[in-house]
Amino acid sequence: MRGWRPALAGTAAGLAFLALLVLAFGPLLARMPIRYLQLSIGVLLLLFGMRWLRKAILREAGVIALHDEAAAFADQSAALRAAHPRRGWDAIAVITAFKAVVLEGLEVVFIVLAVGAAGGLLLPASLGALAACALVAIVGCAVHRPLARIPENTLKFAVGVLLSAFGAFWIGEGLGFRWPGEDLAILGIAALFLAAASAAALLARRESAG
Amino acid sequence: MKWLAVAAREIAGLFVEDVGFTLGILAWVALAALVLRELPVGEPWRAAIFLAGCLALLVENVVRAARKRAG
Repeated sequence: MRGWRPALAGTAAGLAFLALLVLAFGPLLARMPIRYLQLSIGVLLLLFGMRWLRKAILREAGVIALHDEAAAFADQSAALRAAHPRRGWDAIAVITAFKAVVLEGLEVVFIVLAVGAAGGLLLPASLGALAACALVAIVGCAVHRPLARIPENTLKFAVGVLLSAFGAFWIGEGLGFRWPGEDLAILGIAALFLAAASAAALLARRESAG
Repeated sequence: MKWLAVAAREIAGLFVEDVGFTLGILAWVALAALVLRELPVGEPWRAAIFLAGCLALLVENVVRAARKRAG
C-alpha cells in the first residue's frame, strides 16, 4: 500500500521492542520465589487462556461471529490509502506497522514470559515464538494478503486449551497440590479442558438455536 | 498518549473480557488457596477439585452467554 521499506522498518522496530520486553522481564521474573512465581503466572495464564477459550467456544458454536480477517485488512488498507502520502520518511506507514506488531505481539510476549519463566524455559519458548513469527512473515510476504484461510478459530481453541491447562497446573503447583503424574498431568488437564470446551460448544449451539 | 492508552487497554483486554467470568475465576482461585488447601482430603483430590471448578466455571459461563444472546 505504501511501500515495503516503512512496513519493514516498523515491523523491525516492533519486534525489537517486544524482544526488549522479554529480555527485561524474563530474568526479573526468574528471581521470584518459585511458589509465588507459579501461582502468579498460573493465575494470569488461567485468566488469559480461559478468556481466549471462552471466545473460541462462542465462535465455534456460532453465538458470536468469526473474526473476519479480510474485512480488517480492507479497513486498514482504506485508512492507509486515505492518509496523505509523504515523501521520504513515511511515518504513518512505519507507525502502523509498529503498532500492529506490538499490539498483536504483546500476547505472544506474555505467553513466552509465562511459560518460559515459570518452567525455566525462556530460551525454548522464545525460539518457538520466533519460529512462528518467521513462518507468518514468510507466508504474509508470499501471499500479500491476510492469512484468511488459516483456521484461526481452531488455532485459538487449541491455544486456549493449552494455556488454560498450563495455568491450572501452575496454580496447583503454587498452592502445593499434587498432580497425579506430576508434569505429565498437563496432558491430562489439557485433554479435560478440550473435552469440557467441546461439550460447552455443543451446549451453547443448542442454547442459541433456541 | 492516545497510543499509550490503546496499549494499556490492550494489555487489560488480554485478561478481562467478561468481568463476571474473570471475577469468578479469581474467586475460585482464592477459595482454593484459603479453603481447599485446608480441607482434610487426600492429595490428588485437591488438584482434581480445583480443576473441576475451573471446568465448571467455563461451561457455565459459555452456556449463560449463549442463553443471553439467544433470548
